[in-house]
Amino acid sequence: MERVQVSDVAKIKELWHEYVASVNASDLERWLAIWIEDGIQLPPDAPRRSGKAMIRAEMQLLIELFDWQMAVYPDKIQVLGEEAYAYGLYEFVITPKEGGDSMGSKGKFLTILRKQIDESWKIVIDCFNYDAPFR
Amino acid sequence: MMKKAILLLLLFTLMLGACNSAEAPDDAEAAVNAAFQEYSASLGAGDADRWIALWTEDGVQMPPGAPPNVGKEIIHSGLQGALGIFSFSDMQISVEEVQTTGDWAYARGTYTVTYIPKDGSDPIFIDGKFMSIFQKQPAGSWKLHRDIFNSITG
Repeated sequence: MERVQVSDVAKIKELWHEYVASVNASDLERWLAIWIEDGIQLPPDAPRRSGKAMIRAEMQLLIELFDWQMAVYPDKIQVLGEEAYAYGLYEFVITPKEGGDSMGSKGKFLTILRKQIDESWKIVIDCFNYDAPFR
Repeated sequence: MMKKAILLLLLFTLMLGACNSAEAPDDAEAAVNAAFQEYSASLGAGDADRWIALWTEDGVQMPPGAPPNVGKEIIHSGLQGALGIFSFSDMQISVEEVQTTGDWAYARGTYTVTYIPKDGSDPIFIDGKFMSIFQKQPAGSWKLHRDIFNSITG
């Protein structure tokens, strides 16, 4: 059981690397691939986004219009059998692709993940907020 | 034949015991819902000691607009500070989902609350959403272990 958990933690850490790499590459479909179909995103200052289609629709403009520099620092990953939670800190800077001032923020997240049939892990619910007003 | 029957009966009894000793997901959901009722009642009463009793010792609270509060003592003093500035009025928590995995449960939902500043400034209405993780304690109660929340409208 312990060996499985160490491997699962490593896979979830790799998921966060992929989260960051796909956002920084402006690759929305690559980023959505780490979500389950009926995943739920709980972003700040916006309503709940339920399901991949809604998450895609809301994230599309952000990915298309801005270059992203994001970093994620998972502080704790707790595996609970076929589910897990992770929490930690993140920071990002976004710069309009057509030019203009950059904006950024630092914040924190709490995420529920679920192990898939192929032993990979995917995001089920992701909730995050800012440590300070976004500017 | 008799020996086989006794063995089957023994096996059945053991299985029944195992089912009864595992908490039904509905019981965990009821406990989590009760915890949220106490969460809003204790905040409404301005009782930080009552509210912090809902938390594990190593809980982490992740409020918007501030760094995480790590540990019961820090979370408690954070709320005491907030209660010195405003009171919580008419907090309504709506739990949309509770999922249980063994001794852990997560819940998400929405809430509304009005902050009443103690300096007489205008009340501030907040509508938000949250996700929380609960941990079952050795004595059987469920306590809040991780809590993150944010606004629905900016």
